[in-house]
Amino acid sequence: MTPGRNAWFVLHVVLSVLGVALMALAFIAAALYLLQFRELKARRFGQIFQLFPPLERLDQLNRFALVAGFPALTLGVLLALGYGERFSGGLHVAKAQIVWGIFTWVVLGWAVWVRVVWHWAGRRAAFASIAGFSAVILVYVALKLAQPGVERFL
Amino acid sequence: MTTHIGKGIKVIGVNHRTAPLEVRERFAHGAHEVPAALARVIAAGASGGVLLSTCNRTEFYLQAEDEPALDAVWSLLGERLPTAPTGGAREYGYIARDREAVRHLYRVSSGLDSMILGESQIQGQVREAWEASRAQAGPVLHRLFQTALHVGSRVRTETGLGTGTASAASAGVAVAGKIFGDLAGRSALILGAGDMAELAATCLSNEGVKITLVANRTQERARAIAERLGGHAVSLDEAWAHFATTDIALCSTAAPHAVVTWERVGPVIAERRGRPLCILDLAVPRDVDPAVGQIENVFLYDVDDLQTVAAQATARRRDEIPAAERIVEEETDLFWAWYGGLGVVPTIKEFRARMDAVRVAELDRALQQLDHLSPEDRARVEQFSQALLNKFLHQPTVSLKEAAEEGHGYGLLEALRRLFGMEPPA
Repeated sequence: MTPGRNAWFVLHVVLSVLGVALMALAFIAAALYLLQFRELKARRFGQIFQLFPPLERLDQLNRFALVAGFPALTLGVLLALGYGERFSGGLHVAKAQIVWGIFTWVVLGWAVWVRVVWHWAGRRAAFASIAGFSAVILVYVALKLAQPGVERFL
Repeated sequence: MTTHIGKGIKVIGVNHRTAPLEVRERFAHGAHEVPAALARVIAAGASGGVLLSTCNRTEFYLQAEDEPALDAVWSLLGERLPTAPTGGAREYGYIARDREAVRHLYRVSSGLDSMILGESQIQGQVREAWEASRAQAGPVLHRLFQTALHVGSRVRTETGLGTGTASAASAGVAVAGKIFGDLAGRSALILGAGDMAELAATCLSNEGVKITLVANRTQERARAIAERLGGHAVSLDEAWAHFATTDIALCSTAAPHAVVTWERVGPVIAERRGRPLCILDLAVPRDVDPAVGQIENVFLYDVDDLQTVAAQATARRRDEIPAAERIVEEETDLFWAWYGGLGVVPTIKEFRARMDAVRVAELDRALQQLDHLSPEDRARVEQFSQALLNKFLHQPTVSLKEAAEEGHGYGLLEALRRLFGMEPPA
């Protein structure tokens, strides 16, 4: 592997992993938000109330993870596409992977869009974020089941 | 003072352990209602009374025989319930008598009986109750409340029962912190300008919350708080629009019904576009209609909720309970000794005077029949009658004085009056 190819590949892996990790973080923050929200709304002051972070902090964490994670993920995928075009003479992935990959990207993009452009916050934003990450997991599992051995998706 | 000793000390009331908030808020008496309520109980036979009414308790301290003054209290409270339970208001309450009643008040003023163990606000409330009822208290209850304040101070200075922050106001700060995280730079509006509102607003201000406005029925008091904590004073009607922008709304008015209703703030809160609003309702009766709490981004907490939170912070204070209880017991003994001895001296005087009157009457009758006696012999007979009376009265007098010193004088005095047909006190 040439140095150029190598850097390209490393960048793709780093950005993709970072993107997925931030999406996972957004998902966790959203889940904690919803649990803490439920406790605060129901006036229950048990372990969740005591131990979980404040609502607004979870909301901010969710927003940061989405807004930072989505571009990283997008760039990672674009690098993969470019890598394939430049060094491997085209992409070596199944059509289903591309279709579902785009679907997942759109769902995640929607979760980011509603936060940034429509200024969603709080519970609605948390649900959107959970929906986005659930789509990632769902598609990954579905593809794994449909095509065992294919692990290069996203 | 002897006119008061014949009636025992009683406390009749409800508190946070025996009655839910919905009932307590109906039983709560404003300062202006106290004289009339006490007058009614006094008219029913009590010789003195103090009414202690806080958000956690409504208690009548009386000097009274059991009936019918106690019935008057229950019916007075029962009338405040829309639908009274079968047993009336007494289903929610309790009665403590004599020494137990003294001990009860001492535990109350020490914060041992508070929902938030060791909270200090009760000390001020006991003082206010005493001052509001001063004209109707009578000397015994006067002294009882005076000593109760002393006991409260002793417990707070000699034990760690009052350490740490565990008030409803500080719990409000903790809950708001769980919604907003760092409170610095957040905004709060205050409805009401009473002590509770000021205390809670100060707690928020100490955390860096910006007090934007203080709304109250009377503007002078609102202005005083606004000047001290920042913001500006407005009328209640001017406050509703600010529910669209404020982060925290602190409600502690003295209104007898909910002032923050869905109709007033619902449409305004809709303008927040999902931004959370924390409403701390410290008032009893509650200021905020529970329907407002149903709005999705509104987090509404009443006194019971906040006190639940605060109660969690009191675990450390529990270790101090035995030391505080010891002080209460010690002081209860002291008061009871004073109370028991209160009527001893005048009663002994009265008792001896009565016995001496009998002696003199019988001596005169006997001497009339013994007119042959010489003056010396007559003097000897008189000395004999005096000595005999002294011998008879010596032991009862000593026993009464001793019992009074040990705090058991009250029962013996009652027995003495009954046995010798002495008039019961008015």
